[in-house]
Amino acid sequence: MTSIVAVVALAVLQHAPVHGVVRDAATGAPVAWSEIWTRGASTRSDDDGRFAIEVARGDSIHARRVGYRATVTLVTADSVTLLLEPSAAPLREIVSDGAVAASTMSAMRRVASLRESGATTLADALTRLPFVSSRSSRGGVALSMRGSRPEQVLVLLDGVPLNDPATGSADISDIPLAALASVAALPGASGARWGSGASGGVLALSTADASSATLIAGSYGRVSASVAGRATLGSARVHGGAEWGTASNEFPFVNSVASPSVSETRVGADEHHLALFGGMSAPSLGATLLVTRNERGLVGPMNVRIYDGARGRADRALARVTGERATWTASAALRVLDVRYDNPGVASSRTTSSSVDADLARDAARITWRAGGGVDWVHGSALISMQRPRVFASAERGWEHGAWLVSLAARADAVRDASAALSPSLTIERRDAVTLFVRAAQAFRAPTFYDLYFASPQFVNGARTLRPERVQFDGELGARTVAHAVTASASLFARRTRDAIVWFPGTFSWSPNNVGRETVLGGEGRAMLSLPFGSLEAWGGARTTRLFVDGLDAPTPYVPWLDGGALATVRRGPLAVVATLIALGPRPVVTVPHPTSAVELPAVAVVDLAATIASPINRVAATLAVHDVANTRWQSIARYPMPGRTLSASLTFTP
Amino acid sequence: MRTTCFALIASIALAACNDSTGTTTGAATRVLVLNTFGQTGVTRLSVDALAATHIDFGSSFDGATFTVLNDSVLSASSSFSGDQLYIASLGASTVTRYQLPAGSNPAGVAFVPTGIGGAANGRYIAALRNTGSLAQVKVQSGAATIVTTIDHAGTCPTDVAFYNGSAWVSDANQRCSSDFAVQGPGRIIRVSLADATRDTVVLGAAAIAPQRIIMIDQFAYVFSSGDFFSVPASVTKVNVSTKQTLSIVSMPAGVYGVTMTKGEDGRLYLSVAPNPAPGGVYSPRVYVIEPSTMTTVPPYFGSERFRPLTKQDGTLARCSAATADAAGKIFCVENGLTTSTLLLFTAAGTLITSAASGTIASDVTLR
Repeated sequence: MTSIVAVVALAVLQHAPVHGVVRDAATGAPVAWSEIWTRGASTRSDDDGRFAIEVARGDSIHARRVGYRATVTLVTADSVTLLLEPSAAPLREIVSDGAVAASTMSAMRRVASLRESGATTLADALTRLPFVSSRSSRGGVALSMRGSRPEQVLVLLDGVPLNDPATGSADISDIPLAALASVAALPGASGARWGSGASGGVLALSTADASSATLIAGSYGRVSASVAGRATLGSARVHGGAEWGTASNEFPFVNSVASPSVSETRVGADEHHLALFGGMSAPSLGATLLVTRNERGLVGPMNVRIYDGARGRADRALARVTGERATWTASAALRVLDVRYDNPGVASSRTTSSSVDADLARDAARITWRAGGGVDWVHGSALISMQRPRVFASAERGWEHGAWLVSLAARADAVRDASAALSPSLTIERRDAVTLFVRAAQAFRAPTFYDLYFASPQFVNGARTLRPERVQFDGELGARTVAHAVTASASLFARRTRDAIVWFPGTFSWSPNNVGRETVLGGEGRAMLSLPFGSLEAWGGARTTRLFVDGLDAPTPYVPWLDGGALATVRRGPLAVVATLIALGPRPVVTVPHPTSAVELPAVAVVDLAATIASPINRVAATLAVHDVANTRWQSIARYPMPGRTLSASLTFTP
Repeated sequence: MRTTCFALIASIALAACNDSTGTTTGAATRVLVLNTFGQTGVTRLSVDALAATHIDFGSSFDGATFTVLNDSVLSASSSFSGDQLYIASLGASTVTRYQLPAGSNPAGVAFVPTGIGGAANGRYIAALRNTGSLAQVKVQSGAATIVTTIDHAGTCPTDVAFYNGSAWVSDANQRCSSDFAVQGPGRIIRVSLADATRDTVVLGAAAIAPQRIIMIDQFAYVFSSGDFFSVPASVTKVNVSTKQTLSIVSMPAGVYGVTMTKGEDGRLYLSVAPNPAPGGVYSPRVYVIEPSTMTTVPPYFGSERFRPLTKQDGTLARCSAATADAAGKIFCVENGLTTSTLLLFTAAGTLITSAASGTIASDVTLR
């Protein structure tokens, strides 16, 4: 008996290769270039976050990367998943491309798999992301999560907000897909982590540091090329790249608003973009850099000619640096967004928004403390120049006891012209064969510069005329399970907002108002089935949004009562075929009580098909995709025509 | 309540008998409200039953004013919504759209009088702000609709009315296609539909940005919105036979004009609003003007000269548009954030009743 125990003990202690993957605990995205070490060995994760290291069973394995809290995990099996929590992030895990554990409902897509499904731009990619509804007109993209308005979705690039402080919403159409490794949707209010604006959900974009080159050609003059590379300098890795693209978007359509209807070609919707991106990652220092220029024609809705000559240009610059020392993490970010609009003979304008942010975080006594601040500036040719300082402080702590996981966080924000707000959050999870979770949070959204200006243009620096929007309650109750080849999750959610800032038509122009009460009730679900020859995934949601105004309730525009999607992937050798279905129920196009079909867009189902053949020898993958196979020519925004069925072909080389 | 309803029915019946269009249809007397945002179109209210029906104009309509004749309602969407003429049939509850010149930015519309080959022959006219012209639309049964433009109708034509066979156009004299910069005093311009003759009457420095023109006999009453800064809203009376400006009534300083209608009592009902203070609420008030004397008509609200239209909660009504029946009872449409309410007041300003009138509204008339 003793000898048997000794043999077993020897076997346990014997060093053997352990394979693993490092993932971002908040988004589920693989974390590349993270340091992994044991008592006798060290290595780094590759671009997919994967690693192999010699370690004895029963021993510990450590992982860290700048911007994340270091983690220690006991090795008990041949494979291990290491979850790195972003510095000061609440405990949130997600259901991702793979079968990673989840607490609140979330979804992540890797850009490689998005390309495989036929996505050629980030706007394309977001239509394939569960729990995110996107709509597009005039080249811009507006997002909704859990029935939110676009300005209630916070978009982050490596943790840096992309939302324009002037408008509150983020247009991600200029963000190059080539710069990204993954895209993740985190529905629900996250005010305790991200402060103002994270009311409906967070869209987290993670940058890539891989080497690749991609060429894309598509219908209606779409051409783009990107290249990215990296180099290792000692213990640091630097990367950089560029993406260029153009599209004429001159597609035929039926102008159904004209009387009588007439066949036309869409002109003046061309796009041209150039982006430079880069960054570095060292053991105690990380950086992200992005510069973009996006120019496009801004032709209006069908049959509206006054915008035929309108053009816009958006220049964006973003830089972020993060450093670590012992238990301290410090980061600073600079953002500039310059938006020009010119409609010759009609109107022209230019608005420049800038923000600087700095924050400091420290793990102490099992609590992560964080404090920081920043200033936003907006200068507009048609606006008064304004600036607004803001500060915050937050604390969070997680407890793990047996099957129970509890995370508690609170953040206090003070924003000029928006007073102060406290945003607490509590997540409780019980892990089992079917894991149950419950989450409750509060959040807020400060009035944007446009809100303040148009509420009172003559007195914008004087009396405050708009109160901040307050999410009084955002909660969900859900469950998930991972059993064999099936991963499934579902949740019911509710959100109640006081003083929602909503724009309504005035006598001469639109203006914002505080609306007493806004409620959202709904449910979302997602299921994935892994098969020997591929995978099948389906997701869906239903929700009611009610804005109580004029004694009646009105649904939020462009939020369907029901929507969903499905993704089927079949792999055979080097060939992968992906079919994507996106379905949207009827959705109103204006804020009115009880909208009739005259002010609704009809239900639609759109199918995309893509086939990719990869050559592992020369690392080349070719994708051919058909978008909107059934040529539905649906409208994502009323009266803006869509091209219908289109083709795209891409060639990606990964050295 | 029963007494109120009876009084209301009586007033409506009286209004019907005095319908200025001469097309009384007895029990069909209704209030028509133009919904300009949301569920756009025309809401018809049978006020006696406090019930409403709606003819939907669709999501591409944004017209601010309408003109009603017999069974037809005429309005137009601006260049921000496709430059179209809308003709609704109240009897058939249908709406037909006709394309006006692209980018022309239509505003006021009118039926071409029968005497010059008008409505009976399906002829309509629209003021085109961005092209300084008029569009004449001839709808022909069984044949293609003909749209012709008549140039040299002003810098920014905003409305049109007819007298003695000629169209009279209110010209805002602003750069309406871009920044609305005022180019000079407002004007009215006689535009002959038959030839190229024009006559221009300059309204004077107190009439900035004319928006509506109402013809009563040989007199044109021109409503100007003012410039929001130094010149307030006003009404100018012009004898179009002699082409002379007779008098002007200016609103108090700091007040801009919203719209003007002619009531069935023959008076002019102006909706004007002061520039809102910070945190203030858009509060248009109703001034009543006797056209023959060009004086405001009491009763007034305190020392102000607008009507004390008081709601049940004691607050003053915010009338985005108002008109009156022959007895002087005032029909006011008040907008909320997404919906409108029709309020009916006695001439003295006491609320008689109210009814939901659809989404945001910008014009009201009686039929």
